[in-house]
Amino acid sequence: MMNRFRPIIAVLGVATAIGAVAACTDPLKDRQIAELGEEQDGFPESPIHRPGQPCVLCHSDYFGAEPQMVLGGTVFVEPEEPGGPLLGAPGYEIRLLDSQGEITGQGLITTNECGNFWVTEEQFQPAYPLRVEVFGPSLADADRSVQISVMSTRIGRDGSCGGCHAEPVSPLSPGAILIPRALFNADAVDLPSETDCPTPRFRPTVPESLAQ
Amino acid sequence: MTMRHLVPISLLCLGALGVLGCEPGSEPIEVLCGPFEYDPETQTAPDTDDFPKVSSVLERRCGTLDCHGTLARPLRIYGAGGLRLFTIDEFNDASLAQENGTVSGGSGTTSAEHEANRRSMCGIEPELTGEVIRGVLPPEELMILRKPLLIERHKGGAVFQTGGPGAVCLSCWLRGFPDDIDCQDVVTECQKAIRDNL
Repeated sequence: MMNRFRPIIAVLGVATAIGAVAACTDPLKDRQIAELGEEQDGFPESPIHRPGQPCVLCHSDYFGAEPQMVLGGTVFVEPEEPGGPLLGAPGYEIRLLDSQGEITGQGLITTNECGNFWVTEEQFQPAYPLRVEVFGPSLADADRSVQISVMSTRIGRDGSCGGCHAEPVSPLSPGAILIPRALFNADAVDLPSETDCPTPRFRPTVPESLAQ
Repeated sequence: MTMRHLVPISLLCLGALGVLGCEPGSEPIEVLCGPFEYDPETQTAPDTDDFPKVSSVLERRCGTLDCHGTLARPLRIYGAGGLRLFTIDEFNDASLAQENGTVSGGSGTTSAEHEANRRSMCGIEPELTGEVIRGVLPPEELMILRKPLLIERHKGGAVFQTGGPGAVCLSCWLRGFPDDIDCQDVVTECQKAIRDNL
């Protein structure tokens, strides 16, 4: 009698195993990662790669890229002309205040030569929501670091700045994180040239699934 | 009837239900955010004119672009600093949205966005919301408070504290701003809920 059920049990066993493996993947995240595309020519994986893109999508437990980040993004300088090239803003400091009053960033989170910055799990385990401030050289005194801007809303849960900050400005995005020209001390900041860094790319403002 | 017959019949029924449930021509259900047997003599329904105060709290505390200010999540919240209530043309043409100020960080929250937020808040559990308004259930029975108070699992964590300004703001509005002590200065509570968010 049992022999009759053996094939069914075997099929059920295989189906369960497939289901268990499939359950470990997140199709939404897989799609978001795929939409980021390949590395740009001449810029392999490195601390300056993929400016503008949502860092934590890959630098996380899920995808496993190292270092694993709790927060990461890119700061750009506002172009001189609207539509001009977006250049990373090096040497700016990001300060975070979490909902338990923990402050971090001072002297710890600084944008690199292409404007990228990140915070690792070892550095900070934030209690969301987070308040974010950007500090940089004062216009009057380049040696003095002053508050350049404060994010007007809070980060609720997504450590990828590029998850919300995408170009162009749209109903779904406030645009890239910019140092306003009026507060930019050109004498104190050594801006990269357009060829020094990868061309900024952003997550699709309109997800492909909605654009179809 | 054996199991062999029951399985395909069940599948057919489920399929038929799915098709009916998604029928494009079906009438939309009006979101009342009020009791179904509303008695204006004895009950105070939530006032839509007062909702912008509550909406400001929802926008600030719940509606960031990475939380409920997104198209992909239930309880969709619109607002000046988050997701905008856009037209199809603005959706397809960012420059048009920029021109109209319908961009995240653009012009102030519009009355249409307030109304959309009210519908989001009321529509998430319309029947239970009606029960709260009738005074049959306490506001904390609603998901709109259970989640941010972490009475129920919430991916976004604890957004309000029990008895804190955010919870008071929402629950007093749901109860029609009754004259009890908790709700005497609810406007201040709503403003506090916005300001206290770090």
